[in-house]
Formats: sequence, C-alpha cells, structure tokens
Amino acid sequence: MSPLDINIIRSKFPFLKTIKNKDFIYFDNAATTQKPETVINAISNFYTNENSNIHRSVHRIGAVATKKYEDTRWIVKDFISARSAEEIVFTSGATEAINLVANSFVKPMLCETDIILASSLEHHANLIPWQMIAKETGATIKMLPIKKAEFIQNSLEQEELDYTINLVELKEFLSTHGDRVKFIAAQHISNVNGGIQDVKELTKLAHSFNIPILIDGAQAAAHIEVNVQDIGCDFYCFSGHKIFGPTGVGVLFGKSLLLKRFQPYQYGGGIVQRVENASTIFREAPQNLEAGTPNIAGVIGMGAAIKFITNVGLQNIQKQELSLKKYLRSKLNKIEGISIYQGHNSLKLNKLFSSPVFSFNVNGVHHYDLAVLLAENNILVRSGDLCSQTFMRVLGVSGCVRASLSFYNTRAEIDAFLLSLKKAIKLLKG
Amino acid sequence: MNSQANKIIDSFSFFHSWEEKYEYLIELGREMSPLNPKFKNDNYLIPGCQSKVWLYCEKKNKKLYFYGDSDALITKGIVAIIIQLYSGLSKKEILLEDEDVFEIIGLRDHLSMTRANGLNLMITKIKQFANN
Ligand SMILES: Cc1ncc(COP(=O)(O)O)c(C=O)c1O
Repeated sequence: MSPLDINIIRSKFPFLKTIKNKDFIYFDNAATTQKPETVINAISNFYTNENSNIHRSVHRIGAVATKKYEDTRWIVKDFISARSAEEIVFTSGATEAINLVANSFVKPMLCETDIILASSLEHHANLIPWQMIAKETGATIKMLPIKKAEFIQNSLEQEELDYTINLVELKEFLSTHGDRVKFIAAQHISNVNGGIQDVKELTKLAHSFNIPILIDGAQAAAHIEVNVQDIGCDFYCFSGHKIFGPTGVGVLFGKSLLLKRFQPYQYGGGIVQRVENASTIFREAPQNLEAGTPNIAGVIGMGAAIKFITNVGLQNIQKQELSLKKYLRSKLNKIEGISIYQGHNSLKLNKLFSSPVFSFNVNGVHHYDLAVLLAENNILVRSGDLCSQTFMRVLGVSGCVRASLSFYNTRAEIDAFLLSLKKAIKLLKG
Repeated sequence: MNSQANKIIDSFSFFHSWEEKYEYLIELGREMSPLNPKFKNDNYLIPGCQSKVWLYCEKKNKKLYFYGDSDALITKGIVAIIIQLYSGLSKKEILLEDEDVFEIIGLRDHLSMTRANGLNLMITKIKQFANN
C-alpha cells in the first residue's frame, strides 16, 4: 500500500477546498465528517438521473434505484464482514438503530426483575433508549463496571486512568446476577476519549451467560476495521455521516435469527406481504424493519462513502491518524495546566491507538470560553458535555473541549490549532 | 434607544479586533457587581447553557434590578451587558426593549452561534421576570 498524499486526499473533499472554508480548521470529525466528492456526486447523480421509489416500481428507473439500494446492503455487509446482506438494516443513523433494538427486540422480553447493562461511558444515544424501556417495563438499568482506577503504563503516554470495561468485575456480577441480565449495550469507541473497548472479549463474556449484546460503533467505523463476525456481537450500529457519508442514514447489523424475532415498531408500506382489512402478514427482516420510503439517496451515498474508505484503505487511514495523534499529543502535553482525557487502552488491542479524539480542559479556564475563542480563529471544535453527561461525571468535570481529527487533517492545522489555543488561554487567564 | 444600550455600543466602538472585544467583554464581567452567593443555586440557574448562568431579580420602587453570574468568563461578560441593559427599568420598559445591542457591537454573530451561551435564554428569563 502506498502512503497517502494528503494534498490529493484533501482535494477530494469539496468542503476542505472551497474558498469560503479554506481557512477553517475542521477538528470536529467525531461530530460529523466531511464528504468526499464521490459521495456528493453519488447523491446528486441519483436525484438527477435515477430518482424513483424502490421495491415498488415496474419501470426500469425504479429497478435501477432498487438495485443500487440493495447493492449497498452488500457493500455494508462486506464492510463490516457480516454473514449475509439480510443482516443489514438501514436506519436513519446509530440513534435509530439503537432505539430499534431497544423497542423491537429487548423491550418485548423484559419483565420487572430484569436488568439491562450499559456503561456510564456511553453517548446519550446508547443510554437513554435503555433507560426508557427499563422505565416502561419496570426493569432495572445498571452500569457496567469500568476500570478507571487502574493505572496503565504505555509507550505513548505516562500513567493514565483506564476507562475500559472491567471484565473481571463484570464476570463476578454476572455469576451472581447473570440470569436476570437480559441485554448488554456498550460502545466500541468512545466519542469522549477515543478509547477502544475490548468488545470481542466483552461479547464472549456476555454470550457465556447467554446474554445478547449490542455494540455502538458510531465512533469506530471510520477509524478501525470492524468485523462483526470476529467480534461475535449480536447487534452493531453506526451512522453514515460519521464515515464520510450523508446525514440521516445509518446501519443496524443484527444476526438473522434475532432480527427475525423483532416486532417492528413502525408500520407502513414496503414491509408487508399481504394486507387484509383486519390483519397483515409482514415481510421478513430486514425489509419489515424499513417501513415507508427509506432514505434512498442517503443509502446510496453511504455506499459511496464506504467505497471511498475501502479505496483509501483503512490501514492508510489508521497510519495517518496515528501519526497525527502522536504529534498533537506530544504538543498538547506541553500546555500548562492541561488535563487530556484520552483513551490509551487500545494500543494492545488493535496494535493501534485510541481514535484521534482529544478531549481536554485547561486548569482555571472554562471549556466554553476556549471553544468560543478557538471558533474566532476559525478552528472548529466541540465543547460541552459531548452528549455524555455520565462520562463527564466519571471524569469529574461538567464539560470539556474536544478536538477530533480525521486522516485528512494535517500537522500544519495542528500547529495553527495549538497557536490559537495558547493565545486563547493567555487571553482568558488575563 | 435605551441610554444604557447607547453606552455599551459606544464603549465597544473603540475596539476593532475580536480579541479586543472579547477582552473588554471579559472585563465587563469581572467588574459587574457580584451576585450574592446565596442566590447561586439551582433556583436561579438558567438551564440549557454550556456554562452555568445564574440570574436573580429584585424589585424596588416598581423597577427591576438584576444580578447574575457565570462560571465562564465570556458568558459572564454577556450577563454583565444584559444586566446593564435591563437593570433599573420598569416592567413595561423591559418588555418594550428590543434593541439588539449584540448585533450592533459586532458580537451577535459570534455569540449566537450556539444555544450554549444562553444569550437568548437570558433575555427570555428577564422578560419572564418582567411579566410576573
Ligand atoms: C458513540 C456514539 N454513539 C451514538 C451516536 C449517535 O449518532 P447519530 O447522532 O448519528 O445517530 C454518536 C454521535 O455522536 C456517538 O458518538
């Protein structure tokens, strides 16, 4: 594999090269990534030349659209190494995928004595749906134990707190309460610290107690290779817009046997075999879970995004991101009073790293003030609780600044970011 | 236009770069008369902002007086400006006041980018005080 020429890569992203945006430094990639022109063209081409509804039309254009939509199921299947295309459900995003599993699969089997396990490291999207179905059924939601107190030494960083799920403690808990635990939901990569969970071991543990598990891969799919068969999880989800694809589209992977047990929670056209006045026979999964006209252009655009990633090569992406990450980390470390909340646990796991997500605070400076001043310098970062209030509580802060990089960012951008950051700190410390 | 608004606009007109404007804004926050710590509690907290904002209202001789604070410096500056604008006005005057000073001093674009700083929430809160 040849090393990436970042200038060529950047030239493929219209957002990064338009005159208006040229001066922006986009460090908010964990929120959403920019889109390459192949994705934009695929969407535009669909609406220009192929726009028609799918699964309904007898005309040729409708058949083309249907084929492209269904082909994307295969593209996604290959991308995450699912067994078959029937295991791929298109949703509006990771959020909908999780809500779908919660309402169509988990909720119908819950009773008052049951427990759902999730972690306090989750994005709200992978916490609130579980809380809600627990509330509706009288079940309990409990937090997965996390290590945090253990110190780990690694080559890249000094001693740091380890925010990974504590499998030893979890095993103990399951040994006594395992029969009550009906479901486990956990993240693959954190949107706060980029830490990678050992989802394969977690899945093994869950399965040894016959507990189905969902992995939230919203922050993973653009950074590391995802192989759902290797992980072994029952459900996996991600969003198109965080992997260089369009917004409003995402994926739920589910094992076929389990998807077949789903009770659709949305009803409408496209999911039925036969409708009588009083009753309906539904199609099988995944079609019965995609009621109504789906986001056809979005799905096709997501397919183009996956092709883009495959063409660039995830290994190339990782190499680039690791290099950026080390560079930024080494420079950030030198800033006085900075606390960086970064996952590091993954070095062993993926021979890689945490994803290039840097959440931090500077002593005596409010994260909001920093983000405002960085924005004045055209540096786009995120600040606040990052939709993870429970993680903020684990960290003992109300919020933080998050600079999240993608492989198309550059060292020059990092330098400019650091310069602005120092300037902002100086202004705020007065 | 409210004479307080004029004063604020006038002071900001001396500053041209955004750095200077923010420095001045932060200074206004620092100089603002402090909020009695006993009001720095959840009852006076404006929910929904990224930084914490407390706003307390006192009525004297048919006029409303506001006191506030924030844990972020820029937000505190915004609080100071809003208080300068509305404090000491009657209910009616407050409800009629709709001058967008932030627009005129050239910070509206910056400050309204996010709901996070609660600028609009603060103004809504002040109007609520006046409505009660
Ligand atoms: C870890 C994680 N899970 C879930 C989501 C929800 O994704 P979406 O808003 O695209 O549905 C996000 C988005 O920020 C995320 O970071």
